[in-house]
Amino acid sequence: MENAGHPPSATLKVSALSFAYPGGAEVFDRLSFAAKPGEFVALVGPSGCGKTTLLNLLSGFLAPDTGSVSIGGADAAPENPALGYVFQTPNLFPWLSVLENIRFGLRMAGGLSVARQREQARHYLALVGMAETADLMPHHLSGGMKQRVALARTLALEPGLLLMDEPFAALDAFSRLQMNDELLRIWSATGPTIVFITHDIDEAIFLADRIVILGLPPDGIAGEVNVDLPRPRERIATRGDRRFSEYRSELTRRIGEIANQSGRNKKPIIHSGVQTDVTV
Amino acid sequence: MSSTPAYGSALPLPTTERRRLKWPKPSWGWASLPALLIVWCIAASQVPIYVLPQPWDVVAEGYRWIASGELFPQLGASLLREAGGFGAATAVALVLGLGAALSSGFRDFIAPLNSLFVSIPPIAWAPLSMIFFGIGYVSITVVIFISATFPMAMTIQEGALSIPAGQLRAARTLGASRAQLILHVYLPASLPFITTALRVGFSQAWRALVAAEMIGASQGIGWMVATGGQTGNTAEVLLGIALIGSIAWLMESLVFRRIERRYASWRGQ
Repeated sequence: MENAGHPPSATLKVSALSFAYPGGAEVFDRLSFAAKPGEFVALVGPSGCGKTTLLNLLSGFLAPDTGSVSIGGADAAPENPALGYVFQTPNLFPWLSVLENIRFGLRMAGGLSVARQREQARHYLALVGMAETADLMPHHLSGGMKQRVALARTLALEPGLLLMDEPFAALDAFSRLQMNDELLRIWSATGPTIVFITHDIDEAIFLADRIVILGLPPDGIAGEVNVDLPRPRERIATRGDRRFSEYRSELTRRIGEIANQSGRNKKPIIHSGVQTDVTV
Repeated sequence: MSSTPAYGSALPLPTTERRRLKWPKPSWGWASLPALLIVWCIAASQVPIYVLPQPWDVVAEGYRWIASGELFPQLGASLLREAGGFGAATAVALVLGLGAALSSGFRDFIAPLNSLFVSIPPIAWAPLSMIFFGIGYVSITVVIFISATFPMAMTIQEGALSIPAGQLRAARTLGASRAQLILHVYLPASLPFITTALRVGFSQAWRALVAAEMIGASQGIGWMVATGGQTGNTAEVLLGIALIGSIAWLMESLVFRRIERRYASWRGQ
């Protein structure tokens, strides 16, 4: 890729963050962690550990009770230009064509001429391998294709930090493998810091430099695993690596231990009445 | 990039193909108007012409109105009032509906007013309006305005509230300010509901217009129907009714349904 000028990746810094839902128990108690520029961090944990709450705090949709979140030196806010967010569902705008969806953020920001905006949108559409679909409407696309467009729409703003909330959870197993390959290729071409939430342990190992395990509230981080697998990673070779299965056993065991506590003294949190998928 | 899926797989539309193979289902919709005309002719042949004239008598009456140059001022007066009342109602309903969708406080405030005004038949306001504004353009337009504004505001509010939260969140993370959110997400996402609101509002306004004109006006289609009744000219009454029906039908099927259909493809998403 000819991306000598791609934007600097941002540092994510979470300092002593505490948060409780109004009238609810504490979800996080003085949680701290950081992601280095360009690092790929996966967040895993059992159901109800507060993954989605944490993402809402990192993106500024929720404000912490105490402590702070800083992205590239600025406070967390959804509108922070250093922040990109890829959701579980593509959330494309159905009244805009694929290309116009990708141009949306550039249009909001202003600055560039319309021609430059289109050019940049086309560049990122091609990057996710969807150049031919520029003029289609979102309802013409399959689920996986929509999620690619959503990724391109976020990347078009060249964010320094990419938050990804189980972005491929709704896809079938094969499309998910394919999207994992694509994501690594795109990441190596554009280089943002990525915080990737998943309940799929294999996906976490395959993608991440470092896996952060969340415990049940209000424990916060229960542990970390550095994934020492060579890059570039290959769909077959990486998963066939002996260390891959070792990481998998270790993570399965540790997350299982956390999940088992929930029956005794810890309560998983349930946000907006929706339980996320069962892990392990 | 070699691993991208085949795009063709998502594009064909299997439902239309399956429909083509099926034998077309006969529709009897075309027969209803001729059937009504036949019943009308038979009924009219049994009674004197001043009770129920034949359809061709009504056509002849229409020709007389056109030839004398009397018809178009009546039509023009009605359409002008409709345009004024409906136009003002659209503007106010957009503000009320979008405002109520954006602010829960305003939504709570406006909800009782909405249900109050929707439950009162608009024609009940006509005598009051005529005392306030006198007989003429303003008093009838005000009645139309009241009749159309609140159903439209409620439709727009419901539509704007049904915008998926994910789209709003996505727009915010893409850097949209509050004003941009309204202009570039709330408004386009509400367009299907706004067109539905326009259709609902137009027909409400049209009914209120005819009713108000029958009570207090010196011209207009409603006035035509009312004077026809007072002078025992049943052909004039039926001509007025036919005009009222055809204009409503024309607007409904040629204008609003067409606009609505444009959004049908993505409305369910």
